[in-house]
Amino acid sequence: MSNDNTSHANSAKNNILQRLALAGLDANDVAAVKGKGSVDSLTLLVDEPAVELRQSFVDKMQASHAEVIACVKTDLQKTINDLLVRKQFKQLLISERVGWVKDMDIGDTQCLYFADNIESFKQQLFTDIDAAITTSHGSIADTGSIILRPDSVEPRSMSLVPPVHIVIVEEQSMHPNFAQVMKQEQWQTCMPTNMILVSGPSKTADIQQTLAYGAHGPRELIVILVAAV
Amino acid sequence: MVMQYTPQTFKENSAEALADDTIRNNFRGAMDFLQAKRATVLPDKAAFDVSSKRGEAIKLRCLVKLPELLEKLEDQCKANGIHVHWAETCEQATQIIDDIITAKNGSKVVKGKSMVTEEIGLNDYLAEQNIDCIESDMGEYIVQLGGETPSHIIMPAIHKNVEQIAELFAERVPGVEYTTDVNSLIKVGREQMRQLFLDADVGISGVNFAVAETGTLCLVENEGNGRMTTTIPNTHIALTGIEKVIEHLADVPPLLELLTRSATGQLITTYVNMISGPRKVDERDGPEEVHLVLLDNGRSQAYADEELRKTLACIRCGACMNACPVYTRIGGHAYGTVYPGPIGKIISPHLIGLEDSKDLPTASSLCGACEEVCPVNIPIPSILQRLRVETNKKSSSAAKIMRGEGSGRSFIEALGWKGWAFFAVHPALYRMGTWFATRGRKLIPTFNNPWTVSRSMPKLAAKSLREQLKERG
Amino acid sequence: MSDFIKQYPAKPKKVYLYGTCIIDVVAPNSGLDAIALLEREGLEVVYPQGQTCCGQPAFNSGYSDEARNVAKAQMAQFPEPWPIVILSGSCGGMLRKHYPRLLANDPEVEAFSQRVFEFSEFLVHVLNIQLDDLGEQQRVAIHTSCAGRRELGIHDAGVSLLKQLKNIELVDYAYEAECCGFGGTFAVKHSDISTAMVEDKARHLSEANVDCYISSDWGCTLNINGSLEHQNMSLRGDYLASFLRQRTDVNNISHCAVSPSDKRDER
Repeated sequence: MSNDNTSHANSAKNNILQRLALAGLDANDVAAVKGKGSVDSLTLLVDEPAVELRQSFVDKMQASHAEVIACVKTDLQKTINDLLVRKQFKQLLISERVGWVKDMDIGDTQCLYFADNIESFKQQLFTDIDAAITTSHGSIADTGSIILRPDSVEPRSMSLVPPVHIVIVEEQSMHPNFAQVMKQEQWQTCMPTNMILVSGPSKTADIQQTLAYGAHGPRELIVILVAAV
Repeated sequence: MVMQYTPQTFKENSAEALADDTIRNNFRGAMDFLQAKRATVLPDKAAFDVSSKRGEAIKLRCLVKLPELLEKLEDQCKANGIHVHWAETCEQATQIIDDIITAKNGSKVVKGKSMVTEEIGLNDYLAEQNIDCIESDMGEYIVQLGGETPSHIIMPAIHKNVEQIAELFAERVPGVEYTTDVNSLIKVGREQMRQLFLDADVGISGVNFAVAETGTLCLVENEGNGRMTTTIPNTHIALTGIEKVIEHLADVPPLLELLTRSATGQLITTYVNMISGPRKVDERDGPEEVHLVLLDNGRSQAYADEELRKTLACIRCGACMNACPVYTRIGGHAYGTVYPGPIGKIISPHLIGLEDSKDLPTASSLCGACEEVCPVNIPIPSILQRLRVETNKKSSSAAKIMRGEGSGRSFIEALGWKGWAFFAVHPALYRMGTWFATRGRKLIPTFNNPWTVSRSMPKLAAKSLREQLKERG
Repeated sequence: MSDFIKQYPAKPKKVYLYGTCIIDVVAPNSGLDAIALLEREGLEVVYPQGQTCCGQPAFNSGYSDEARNVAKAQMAQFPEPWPIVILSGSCGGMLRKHYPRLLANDPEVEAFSQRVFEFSEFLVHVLNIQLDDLGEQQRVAIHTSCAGRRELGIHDAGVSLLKQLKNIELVDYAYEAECCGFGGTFAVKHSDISTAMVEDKARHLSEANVDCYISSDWGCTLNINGSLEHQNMSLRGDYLASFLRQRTDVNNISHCAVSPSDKRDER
C-alpha cells in the first residue's frame, strides 16, 4: 500500500537527484574519497585481556544502574532461581531458550511464553507482566553494552515492555568495542529485522538535567554474567 | 496552534530573552552542565582531534557519494521490505505521511523524538486532520504540554526549570499534584505514555543514521520511547533528511561514539536501535509495515556548493549550541527556527530561505567555540562569513546559489565598505584620514549609537603609530 | 581546525611589524612598546608605512571582494621574506588563516601567511625571551581573543610570558575562554547580545580581584574597558607588550592600573 510507484513520487525522487547533480561531482571526486575515515585504516581494533574487558563491562553497567550478578555456567540455574525467589514476580515472561525456568520452585510466580503474536498479547504484556528473561547475542566491554538480536523465539518487546528485564550474558561472547564485533561477525552480511545495544535501564535527564531512571523502557536491568568455567 | 517565534523578528526575540532572568539562568545552568558532561568523556583535545577528523572524513565521503548512496539505500530498504518515499518539500512530506496513516485507517499516532518532524510541522498538520499525534519523548512531551516548540535539538525542554515543569504537570495532566521530585514527574510521564504506546496504531520516528549498505535505520535514545514507537504500533514511519545517509554499517560505530559523547556526555546511549525491515513472517512482534520518508527541503541547495555542503555533515549532536555564548544567553526559541544555535544559523537559510533568516548569520561574534567542539569539524564561522557574503550579494544575472541571495544588501553599507576599502588600498589617503581623525579627535561629537549604549567611546591618540614611527626615521 | 604552528623559525635578524589599524590610532604606545621589546632582543624592526588594515572588518561583514583588494594591498607591503610580527590575534588569524581562503588563486599567499606570527607566540617560540621582573607584586588576569585562542593557539604563549614575571600572580577567573562579545561589527549589529556578553566578561574579570587584566588584542580591550568604564567599574586592561615592557624596562618601570598605555596616548 505504498505510493512509491506513482509517477508523482518518481518525479520527486528525480527532482531531488537532479538538484544534487548540480554539485557537479564526478567519478574523480568519488575516487578521491574512497575509504576515507574507514575503520580498516585505523588502529581501533584492540586486543585486550578478557579479565580487563569483563571489568570494564561490569563497571560501566553498574555505573548505569544495572544490577550485575556474576556466576559460572554450572550455577546459572541456581542463580536465576535465587533471583526469582528474591523478586517474587507475579507474572514472568520467558522463552523456550530458558524453558527450565518453568520447572523451578519460585513460589507464586507464573511463568508464561510470548503468545503467537503481540496483537493477542498486548494488554497483558503492558499491564500484567512484571518481568522478562531473555538471552543475548554478546556484549561490548568499552561501553558496557549488551547485544540483543530478537527473533521469533525472543520477540523485541520482551526486552522493552515489562518493567524488569533480566538478561543472560555469556562472557565468552564479550567484545572490546562495537566496531570490532561488527567486523568480526560481519554484521553487514546478516542484519536481522532488529538489533539493539542495551546499556542500562531506561533513563532521562530532560527535567532540569536531573537524571531519573525508569522512563519508558525497563526501569530495572538485571544482568546475569555467566563465566564459561 | 503552537506558539512560535519567527526568525524575521530575531532581534526583538533576542532582546526579550536577554531581559528574562529565568531564561538567562536556566540556559546558563544547562549549558554549563552539558559542557561539563562533554568534558568528562572528551577530556583529551588531541584524541578528539583524531576522532573528529575521522568523523569529518566519513561524512565527507558519504556526502560526495550521496546520490549513489540514496539510491543504494532505497534499493536495500525495498529489498528488506521497507517502503521508501521521496519528498522535495515539507508539504510533500506531510502529505505522504498523511496518506500512509489514512491508508491504514490510523487514528492514534505516537511520535518518537524527531527534529525533522518539527521541520515539516507534522504535529500541527495532523491535528488539522483530526489525527492525534502525541510526543513520547519526555522533553518533547513537556514542550507539547506547554504548547511550545523545542528550544534545543537534544533536550527539548531545556528552557524550563523543574518548578516550571511541576506547575505545568499539575495544571495540565489530570490527577497530578504539584511536585518537584523529578522521579515522580518522570513516573507521571511514563504512566501517561504507557497506554498511548499500547493503543497507537502508527509510530513516527526520526533516524540518526540510515545505512545504505544494509538498508538499516539506526536510532539512539535513553528513554525507550523510540523503541516503543518503532516496535509496538503496527505501522512505523521514519522521517529523515537526505543528508543522514551513511555508506557502510562500519561507519556507524565511529559516528555513534562522536554523537553520544558530544550530545549528552555519554559513552553510549541506553539504547541503540537498528531496524532493517518490518516484521517477518515468523516473527511475533514489530510493525508489519515500515516506511522511510527522505526529505530534501533545501538540503540539495547546500549540497550544490562545495563550501556550503559541509553544513550537511551535521550529525545533530547539539554540542555547538552548548558551547555558543550567544545561544547560552538568548536560548533556543529566540532564533525562531526549528534548529537553533550555530547549526541553526547555517542550515536555516537553506530550509526556509535567506530572505527569511538574514539576521541569523550576523548574530555571531565568530568566536569559534562551536567549531572547536563540532565532532565532524564543520567550519561554522567560515560558513557564517560566507552566508554574510551571500546576504549582501549584488543582484546579477549569474546563477543563484541560494534562495534569498542578496536579500540583506544595504546600498549604504555596501557603499560604506567600498569607500573604506578605497582608503585602505591608498595608504596616502588612509594616512590623511588618520591624521584628521587624531588631530580632530576632541571634535568628534559623542552621539548615541549601538556601541555607546553600553560602552564608552574609544578615545583616539594624539598622534598615530605610523606618524610617530615616521618621525623616528 | 586546530592547525596551529608546529615548527617555528630560528631567531631572525630582521622582522616586519604589522601594527594593526586599532593600535595605529587608539594605542600607538602599544606599538612602540612592542617594538622596544623586539629591539631589546636585538632585532631590527621594519614598519612599512603603507600598511593600513588587514581587511577583517569588511571580510566579517560579508564584503569579500573589498576585503580581498585590501588583503592584496597589505601583502604588497611586505615583500621581503622576513617574519611579520602582528600585534593582534584577530588580525593574525585574518592574515594566517583567512588570506589563503580569500586569495586562493594567489601563488604567493601561502608563503606569506606562513611568515605571520602573533606577538606573544613570536616572543616565546622564536625569541625564547627571558624576562626579568623588576616590578612590584601584582595580581593580573589574562584575556586572549577568540581568534588568538582558537585560530592561532596563542593563549598558552601569553600565559607563559606572564608566568615568567616572578612578582606577578596570574589569577584564574570564571568563563575565561568565553567570548567577550566584540566580534567587530557584531557589537553594533547585535548590540543587545554583545552587551550581555561584555557585561558578563566585565563582571567575571572584576570578581577576580586583580589589579588589571592583560589582553593581547586591542579590539577586545576597547570592548571590555568600554563596558567597565560605562558601568563605573574601576578595573581596566592593558596590552601584553606594554605590560611586559613596563615590568622589565630598567629605565622606566611602571605599573598597570596606574598608567595603562591608552592613557599615556592621550595628551
